[in-house]
Amino acid sequence: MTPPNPAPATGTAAPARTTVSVTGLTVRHRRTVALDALDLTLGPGVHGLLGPNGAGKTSLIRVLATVAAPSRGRVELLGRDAGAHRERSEIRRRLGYLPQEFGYYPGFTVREFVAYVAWLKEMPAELAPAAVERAVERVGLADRIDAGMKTLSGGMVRRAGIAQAIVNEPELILLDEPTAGLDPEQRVEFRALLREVGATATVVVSTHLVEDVAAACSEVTLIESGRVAFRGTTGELTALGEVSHAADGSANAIEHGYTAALRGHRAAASAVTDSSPKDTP
Amino acid sequence: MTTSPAPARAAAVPPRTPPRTRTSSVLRTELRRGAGPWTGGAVAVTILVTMYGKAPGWQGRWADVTDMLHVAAGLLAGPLALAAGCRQGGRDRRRGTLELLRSVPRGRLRRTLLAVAPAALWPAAGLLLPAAVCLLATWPYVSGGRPYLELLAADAVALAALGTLGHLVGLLVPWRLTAPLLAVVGYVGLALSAYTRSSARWLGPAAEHHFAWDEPVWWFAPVSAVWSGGLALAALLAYAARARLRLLALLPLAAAIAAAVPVLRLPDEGPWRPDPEVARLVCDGGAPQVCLPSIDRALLPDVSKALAPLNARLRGLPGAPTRWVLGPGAPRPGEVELPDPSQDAVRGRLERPDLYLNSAVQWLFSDTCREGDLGGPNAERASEIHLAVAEWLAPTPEDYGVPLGPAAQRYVDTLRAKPPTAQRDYLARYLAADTCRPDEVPIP
Repeated sequence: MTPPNPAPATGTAAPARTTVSVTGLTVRHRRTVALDALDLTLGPGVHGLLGPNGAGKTSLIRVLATVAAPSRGRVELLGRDAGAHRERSEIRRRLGYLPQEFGYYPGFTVREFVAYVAWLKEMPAELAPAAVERAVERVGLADRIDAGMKTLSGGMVRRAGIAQAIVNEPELILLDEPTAGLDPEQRVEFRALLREVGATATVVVSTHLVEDVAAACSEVTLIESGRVAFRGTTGELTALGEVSHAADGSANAIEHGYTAALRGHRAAASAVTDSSPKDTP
Repeated sequence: MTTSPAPARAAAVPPRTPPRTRTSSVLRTELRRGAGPWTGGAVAVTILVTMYGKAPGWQGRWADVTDMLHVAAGLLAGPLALAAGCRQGGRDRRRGTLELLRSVPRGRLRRTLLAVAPAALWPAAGLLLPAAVCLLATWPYVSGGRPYLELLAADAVALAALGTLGHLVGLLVPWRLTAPLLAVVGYVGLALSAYTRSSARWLGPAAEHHFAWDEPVWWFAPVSAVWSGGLALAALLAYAARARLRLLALLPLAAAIAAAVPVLRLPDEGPWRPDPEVARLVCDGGAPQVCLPSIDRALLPDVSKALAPLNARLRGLPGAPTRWVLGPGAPRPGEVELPDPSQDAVRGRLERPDLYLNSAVQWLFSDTCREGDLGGPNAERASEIHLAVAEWLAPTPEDYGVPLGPAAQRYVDTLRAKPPTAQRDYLARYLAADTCRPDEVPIP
């Protein structure tokens, strides 16, 4: 069955207030191209970053987190050039980042660890203690704030990781697989937290769990082989699934939309390859 | 997770510039958590156990306790500080926090300074605590001088520097066995530097010094601290400072090199010079007179009492010494050097006067003979007579040494059986003889 054509994958429709603007972003890991001349603009709200394994989601998140430098292209975050040293420091003060592999110091308590990250983020000292308590409370760890990190369960460690990401009330929050290790109830609460912080900040959630995107994200960017395969609202992705799998229940519609968008992008990419001059006899 | 509405951003969002920083609370956290306190504890226990094992040998003089602490700190705590710092340096790699750290605005220099703090401060604290205990334990039994606190401070700086260098190695070398290997290499390096004959040994933190009546030149401790601290700071800046500030590392490096120059120019005895007040002789009224340096003034009555039986035999004899002395410089004519009584003293008392007397007799008759002097047909007999005379004057304690052979024992029995005047006559002849020439040694 041939999937219907997905929405145009330009990724260039600028939101009302742009906080992330990526132009021609290329990231190479030795000979592999992780991101291929990617263009993307994002504004406040919760953005889901979907894609199969190895599509380039983590590479994109790492560039947006100013952890990795692009091989080519321009990255503008919060109105500043991420390539300039001084501006990068300013961006980092307004950034929250939860890496996919979240490391912590087991000897620290939750409060100490989050306060440590607040210091790393150069938060004003007089605001930090209250900000730490607020962040820990928001992730539901208030009753464990003085517990050692090593005593926390995997889900709690993840929540502590989210607390350190939001401690500075960042305007750009980058979460790489944030729901890994959370149980279903915590996941529901986490999605509510995402919607809350997304009301004022730009939240980018990289995940392979389509249901997280359906429940918490207003917009979706689907990445495949380092390129944007789909860009639109969650509703548009769901609608794409409803068209392609009208007979299925609506619960799976976004998954079908994900699949349809992916196949459509692959088909389009294949067509471009087939018609390229070098392949013409 | 709660979903209560966030407070108004105007109230919650901190002002962006300039960022004010207060590192005291995170510094406290860094110092309290992790391996830092364990490192400090390990250093403290290592030094305390070492000092306990060597007590009471260091407990009577400030110089002895300082020197013993110096060697324990340099040779044992130094490698420990290196290894602990190395492990601390690899913490972020082991814990997987590098990714998060790369996304924060706080500069690498300040982050590194904070992370280094436990590796630098805890070993230093681990030295200062047992040092305070040992100094307090010494205080009641010293007769003079002063504790060389500036040397202990320089040792603490050296330990902090070693911890810092270990931390930097841990940051740069991602290998599991780096820390233990660094400890072994550090121990060998510090030991070799301590026992080399060149003046470069005084740059190492474990060089030993023996003379209790000496004091270090005033500039040695601060210069040592600049040397070790400067090297560590230069390495830290070279690693952690931003590219444009990296040249700043040359400043502490230049200071360290400048500090090394006067140390390398020190004479063989290093930075130690006799302290006239400490080395001043304090003598009893006996004959032969017993003289000790003023730092051992408290031991003088015990030493006089221990030597009394021997002095009674020597008194008035031609060839007998006029003074027993201990102090800087070679004994003058008529003087005989005394064994160091602090080696046999326990908390200000000469615990084994019999052993001390025995040592004194050995020193009285010790002579530097030329090669071939002790040869010839009578050499064996002369050797037996030497042993017998020493045993007669100061019997070897039963739990010490080996029993005399039958020939020597016969001489002892002969000497003991003589009337007092004959004994004095023999001893005068023995003292007058050249003991390096076996034919001249009188037979009892």
